[in-house]
Amino acid sequence: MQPKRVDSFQGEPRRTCRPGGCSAPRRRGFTILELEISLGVLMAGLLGMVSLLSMYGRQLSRTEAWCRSGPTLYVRSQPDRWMRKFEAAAEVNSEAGQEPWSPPVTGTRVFDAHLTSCSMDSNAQLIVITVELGAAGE
Amino acid sequence: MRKRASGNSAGFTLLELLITAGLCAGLAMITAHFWRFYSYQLGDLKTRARAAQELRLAVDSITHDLGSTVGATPVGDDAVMLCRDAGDIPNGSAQWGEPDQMVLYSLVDGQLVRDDQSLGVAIVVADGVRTFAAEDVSESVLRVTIAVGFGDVTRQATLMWGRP
Repeated sequence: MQPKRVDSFQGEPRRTCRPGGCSAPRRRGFTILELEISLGVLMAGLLGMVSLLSMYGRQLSRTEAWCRSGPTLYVRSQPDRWMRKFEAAAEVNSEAGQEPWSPPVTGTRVFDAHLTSCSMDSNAQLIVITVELGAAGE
Repeated sequence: MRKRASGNSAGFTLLELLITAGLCAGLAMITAHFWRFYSYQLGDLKTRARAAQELRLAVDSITHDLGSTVGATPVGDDAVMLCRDAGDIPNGSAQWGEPDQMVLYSLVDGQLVRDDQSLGVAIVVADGVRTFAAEDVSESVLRVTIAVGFGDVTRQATLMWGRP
């Protein structure tokens, strides 16, 4: 014979009644399935943390790429006096032998440059500078 | 299969309890493993980030000052004095005094200190500095080497400054 259920107030445990009398109220605990699902969710959270760490590592690698190999930076002061007055930062390059590092940083001097003439045409907004290059030391 | 205790109160059976305990133990082991890996990696990333950040601060500060520098000279092994062109109209030459601005970079107790001697203000530019060296490579080139490190992480940069 099917046990007869007696409705109780909402939120209270149900009482099962049989012909001989009613049993003590039943309290429902977690099932194994619920427990396993919650553990699965927890594991997913942990894996998420690890993936965040991995993403942070990639971002940092990009950020510190400039200094990981111990770079040499070639620095030149601002050539213009007004730029110096306004405290502009120096020109920085990662390679020597190019602007702003036109003279070679290391090695021997190759040329001597002698300024021979300089003329300016203000109407045409033109400046003509003549430089004579000679072998170093001559 | 399921035996209830007297009073018919519901709860875990021994088998459920054993399975749960086993799962929790396994999860604890996995969590501990992850946590150790996570802490180590996070510490390593934090150290690397800090070293890169402090080195960037040092390099940026020095390159900013070098922008208006017309003269620089090493002072001892771990300091460099910069003469910044200043005054109403910068004249392009190092006068090593007024109206030029004298700035001393030096290594003090692992910190790179920028001492603006004209204003009398000294500030810490970077922390964790292991090496700060300035030397004249030639008449026209000054080399400044900065190494910043925390733990077993060291980051280094070299500045080659061509005198104007």
